[in-house]
Amino acid sequence: MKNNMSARRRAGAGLAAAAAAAVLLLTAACGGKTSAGAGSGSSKSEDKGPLVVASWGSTTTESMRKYLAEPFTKETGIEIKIVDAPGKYAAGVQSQSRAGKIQWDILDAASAPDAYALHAQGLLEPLPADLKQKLSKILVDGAVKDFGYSYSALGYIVGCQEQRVASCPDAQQYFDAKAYPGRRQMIATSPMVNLSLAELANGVAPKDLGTHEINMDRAFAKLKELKPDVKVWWQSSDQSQQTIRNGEVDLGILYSGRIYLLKEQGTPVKPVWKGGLYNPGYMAVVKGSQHKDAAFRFLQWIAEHPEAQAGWASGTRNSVPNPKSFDTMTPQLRESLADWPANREVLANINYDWYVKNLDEVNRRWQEFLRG
Amino acid sequence: MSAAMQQATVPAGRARPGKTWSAQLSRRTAVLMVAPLVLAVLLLVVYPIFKLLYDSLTQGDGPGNYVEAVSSKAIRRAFVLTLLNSAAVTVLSLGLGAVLAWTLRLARRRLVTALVWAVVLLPFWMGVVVKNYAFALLLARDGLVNTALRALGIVDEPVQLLYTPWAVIAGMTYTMIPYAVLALYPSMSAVDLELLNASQGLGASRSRAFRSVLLPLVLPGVIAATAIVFAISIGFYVTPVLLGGAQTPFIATVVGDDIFTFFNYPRAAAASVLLLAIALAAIGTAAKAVGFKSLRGGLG
Repeated sequence: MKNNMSARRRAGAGLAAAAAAAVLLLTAACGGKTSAGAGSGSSKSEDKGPLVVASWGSTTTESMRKYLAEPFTKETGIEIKIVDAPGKYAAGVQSQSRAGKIQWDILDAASAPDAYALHAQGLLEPLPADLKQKLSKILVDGAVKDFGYSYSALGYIVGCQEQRVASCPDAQQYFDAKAYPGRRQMIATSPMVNLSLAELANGVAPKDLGTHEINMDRAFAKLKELKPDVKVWWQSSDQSQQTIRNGEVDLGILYSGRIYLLKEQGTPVKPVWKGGLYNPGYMAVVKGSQHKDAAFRFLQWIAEHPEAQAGWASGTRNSVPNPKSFDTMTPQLRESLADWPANREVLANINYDWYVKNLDEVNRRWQEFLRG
Repeated sequence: MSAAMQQATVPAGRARPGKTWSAQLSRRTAVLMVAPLVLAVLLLVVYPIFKLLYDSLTQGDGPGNYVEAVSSKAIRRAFVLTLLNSAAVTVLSLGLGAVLAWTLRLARRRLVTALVWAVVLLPFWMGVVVKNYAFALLLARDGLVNTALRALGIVDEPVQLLYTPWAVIAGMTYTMIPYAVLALYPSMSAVDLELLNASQGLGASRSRAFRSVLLPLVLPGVIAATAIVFAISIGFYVTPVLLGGAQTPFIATVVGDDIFTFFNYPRAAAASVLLLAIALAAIGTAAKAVGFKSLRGGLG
């Protein structure tokens, strides 16, 4: 009975879709001015959304609304609805896809592991070829992937409490606790960051790291060596700030943005970008979005509006991919961002393709290492 | 309006026949009145527990989930830490709780009893985050405890207190003392002090009076309190995370990892069932030793 009903409903939906397609074809045939290609201006304005954007909450959601969504709506008439789903992108998209009801159109700066995993599962819309080409020309090198582009990047870099650490190591020297003594902290929730840093310390060249297959035995051995000096494995970025402030640790691997935030709030912390890791987020369109074209149009709009990105960066302190946006920022702001050339060129890439393939094994061994 | 007038016309002190207050409920009324509660328990306690048990045996590798859970070094260590720390917390809260409960039994002055009750119940009413944050501040490297230790010359360098098992034990004991006091107080307040005086009058030493008279009288309360404090302790989540850090995992922490980070729901279910079994065993043993009545009395 239930099956019958849903089958009927599906048939109904199919009919409706066919009818809609027929109407579209008719209007296309009669109007004759529909052009191919995403975002070619007013001719695509039939779809008014609303676009649903999944975002991270707090400053990220506010900045998305103020600097990106509102100006875009004003210009195009496409409505945008933002929902907060911090840390729930992958689970959310998976369950929506299973239920056959896609509710989100866009993921606002999905974390790289999530984006790569969703892409591998076929749950993200590939960028249309022409859009991909356009974006590659205007965004920083390596920002554009098959499923979207890098946005809201951060560095995993060394931060030292200057009063307690005489000479601050870079991320590779960080593993030498004899030459650079001090109580350390590292991230508990991202095994790939720790394994990648360990491999760099093991002598992997930074430029190769993005394609390097991690030697887990060797990397875990390196981490084990350092473990007695790691007093805190932080589980939230707020905690990583708190432990530096209250003296629980002297130095650590932190999100770059948090180090600058600490500095602003009066804790003398020195950021060392050299040898750190580039941690991108990704703007992506969810597979099966009802407003796919409008969604890609929004992505293109963001990429092509450097001043909007500069505003967004001032709101979130995270980096943006259009190099022109640096022109309208204060020097202090741009020098604190991961895509600022002086910072970007000393950061290594994480091999997320490898991580997605070895996810279970890496996570299992990481838990054993951390808790065992 | 008319009802109020009618009520006023009923002579004071004379109830109408058939409307007397009675301790006896008719069977129908009784069943009807407990029905919502029974339904809630079935829906919110019994069903989830059976679902958990069922899932742990049928999802993933089926019964193999238990093998996977037990063969994980992380889970084994979490079990050991959970049980050892909870045992320490139980001993400490019972020791301190017994002193407080006995003080409440003996104190004559209202001010003293009021003060002790306030000390016991305040942490009971405080939010769990507030309590733990207070401990995090106290135990930090530049916190009050380290400052005091250094000022007194006991240590030269600040010692690491936060993110150690000791911090977890301290924070949990603080949380569990009220439970210990509330479980001990009924049996202690029922002790007739004349019995103690009589035993000493008959020649028993003070320690003999304690051993042979007081202890047997309060033993059911002590066993009940032990079971309750231990069973609650092994389920702690927030305190081990905030005060113990990633290095001091409790079972609940690892179950949380499995659910929220690694999406390994079957193994999480298996570990949860094992934890639940330990808690039930503790309560069951105590119930067998002293009867459910004392346990219930201990729970207030």
